[in-house]
Amino acid sequence: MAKVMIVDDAAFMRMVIKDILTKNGHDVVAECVDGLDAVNKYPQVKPELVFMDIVMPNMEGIDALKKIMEMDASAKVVMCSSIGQQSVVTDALKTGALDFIVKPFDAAKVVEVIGKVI
Amino acid sequence: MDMSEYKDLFKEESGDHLQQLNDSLLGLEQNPKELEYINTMFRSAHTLKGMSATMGFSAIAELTHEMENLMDMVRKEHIEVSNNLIDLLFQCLDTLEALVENIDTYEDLDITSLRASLANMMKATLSADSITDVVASEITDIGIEIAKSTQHVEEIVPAMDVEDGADKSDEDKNKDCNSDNHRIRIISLKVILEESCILKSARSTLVLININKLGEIIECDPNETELEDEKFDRDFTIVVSTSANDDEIIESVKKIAEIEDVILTVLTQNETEENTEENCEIIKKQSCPVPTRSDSVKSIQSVRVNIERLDNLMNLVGELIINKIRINQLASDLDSKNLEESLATLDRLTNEIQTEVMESRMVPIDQIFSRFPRMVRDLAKSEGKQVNLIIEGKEIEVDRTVLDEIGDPLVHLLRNAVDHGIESEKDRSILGKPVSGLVRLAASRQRNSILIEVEDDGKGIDPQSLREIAVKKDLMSQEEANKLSDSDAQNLIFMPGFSGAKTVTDVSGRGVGMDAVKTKIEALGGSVRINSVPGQGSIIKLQLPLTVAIIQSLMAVVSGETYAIPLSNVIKYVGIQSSDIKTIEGNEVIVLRGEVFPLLRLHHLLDCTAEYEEKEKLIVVLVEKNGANLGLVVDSLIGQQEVIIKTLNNKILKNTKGFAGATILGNGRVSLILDIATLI
Repeated sequence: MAKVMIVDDAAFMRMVIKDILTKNGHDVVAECVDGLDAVNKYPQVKPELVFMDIVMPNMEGIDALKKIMEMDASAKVVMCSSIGQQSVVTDALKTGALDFIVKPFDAAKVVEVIGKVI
Repeated sequence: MDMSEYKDLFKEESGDHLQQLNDSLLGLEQNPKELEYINTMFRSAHTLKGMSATMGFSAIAELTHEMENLMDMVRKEHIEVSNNLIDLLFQCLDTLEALVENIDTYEDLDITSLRASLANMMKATLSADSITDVVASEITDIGIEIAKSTQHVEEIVPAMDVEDGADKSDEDKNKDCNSDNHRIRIISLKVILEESCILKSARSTLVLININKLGEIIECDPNETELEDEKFDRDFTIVVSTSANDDEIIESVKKIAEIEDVILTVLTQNETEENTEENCEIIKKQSCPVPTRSDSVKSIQSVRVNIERLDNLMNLVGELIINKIRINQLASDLDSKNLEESLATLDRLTNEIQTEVMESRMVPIDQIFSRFPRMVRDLAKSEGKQVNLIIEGKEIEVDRTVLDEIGDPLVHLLRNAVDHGIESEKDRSILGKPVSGLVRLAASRQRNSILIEVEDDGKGIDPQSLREIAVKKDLMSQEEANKLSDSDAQNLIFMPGFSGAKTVTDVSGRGVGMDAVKTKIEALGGSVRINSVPGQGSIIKLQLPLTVAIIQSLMAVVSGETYAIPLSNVIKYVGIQSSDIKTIEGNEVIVLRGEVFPLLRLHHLLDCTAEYEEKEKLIVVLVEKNGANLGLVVDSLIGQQEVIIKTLNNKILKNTKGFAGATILGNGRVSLILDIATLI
């Protein structure tokens, strides 16, 4: 079981990930609506794992990732990407994201990724 | 996964994004240079793509994907914002809207032609811009980004090697319990990805990053650029020079998700025994922090509540108020000071609850206003007119029920304004008006009501032509028409049977379905007024109640029973002598100031004839509905009162004509609310 923070501007996507996580015994401790929200909440919530969407208003996922890595070099961030975002995901991984999942989310894959990174 | 439970949320949120897309596209049309619009659109399209792919709505996902590609080219300035582009994107939005609308039926619309148009748009621009290197297949799939990013990556990766190579080997030695014993070896790793792996290039990057921590990558097959471009099937080979042992290396790759297998071959073996302490890995894994429960609170600022819940809440508050009034009545007999004090508190609390509940049903009027810019734009474009729509007071909040009902009337009024109000560009320049017509839609909050104004600077309404039409359509005689003041004549367009005719539209420039607008607004307990100056424009004012759950009523008694007459229908009440009643064709009427009111004796209508006795003095409530007047004969009047409407929606009473609902009085008795429209 892990304390997870979900960052996605779509309430729909947050709900989908959250349901997958809670059904698998994880604890969603915070939901953030954009990168800025995530950067603000990260130090308060101190999640063990962050699921970070890439395309968001106010602050994009990659920038939020950078900010979070600056705050906490050991932060565990998994990028939530779509098909066609290879280059951004690649950049994110080089910045320090541990892994990524691809929409549409497959519950088994999400669980596999958590198992691998935690 | 069963996704059906997410469908409502999906629909709702998709709607928001479509609105956002529409708004931004309108903005872009106005300011083609403002790239922030395209960025916003890109984000919305992207989010929609992810959501629809998750739901399995492939048509939406495919279309948004193509749109995203096109918009990406726009924001990278490979494509200029042209009218064609805007129109094509609007088409896409309409199709998306239809697709989202259709998700219940799972009917996928055919989007092939639209996709072809998108592809053409992208191709055409590409060849024009002579970006010859980029192959068409790449464009549709990943966009131009690749071409740029590859170069970038090649620069970064070797740099990482140099920097990390020296530092890391030291660092890693400390970490890896006994790596002192290892000498540098050259090994080859064949990595096979799972078949279901989607972003293969990103996956391969992750492998390279992990391997880089353990050693130096000498060679990749396919090379790193090709890996990034996803120019490989499922497997790739990396040659590494490393001091780490086999298990460490295999473990570091296998702990990445979506890796099917790793095959390690040693190319240059040194003589040192490869006895690794596997425990190292295990210890490392266990050393991850023990999860502690956080005391942080999930911050949720708002919740979505079903409107039915709010209706129930409103009903309960109504009941509460009724009961409070009853208790107040009972207490007044007891004359207890303590009781009175606590009742005063109860009074205040119930009032506060009522206000809170009413506020919670309020939604910003922008929810319907926001779709009008697009509508007005399309309409103006199809008519070849230039129209500038100004929206004011979109933050004003109205009751959800009211909001649901005023959408259609407003569409009507705006259509009329653009269609018939605003003149063609040519006419306007002849008249010396600005070429671009002005339509203003404004909402404002009055004390206990909402005022919505629809104004245009078009041709206005000529009262004289309305008089002529009224006579022509046998709605009144020539004398009657002549007697009408100009403003009364303008109000003719609200008469049933007056509008809807093509001639009206052409002559007066107004009047399509205005009676429908009036009926709808009055059904909500509101009113409609029109003010027009021929040649200068028209303004139509809708006065709406804040809520429909509570209405102002005139309480009247008929044969001992109390009835509520909605005040919005009441013109006035008068006392008459029974001798004033005249008979026309067997029907009783009274004539007041030259106006004829048919009389309706509520006693007869409500079947209370047994107790009914002919009196010399009669009280008549004059009511008006849809332009028809009526006088209701009642026994006595109690006065005005706010009543809470309880609908008659059970099986027996549902189809009862003449009653809009019921309410409960302070004394606990039920009183019926008359519905003037069906009563007549």
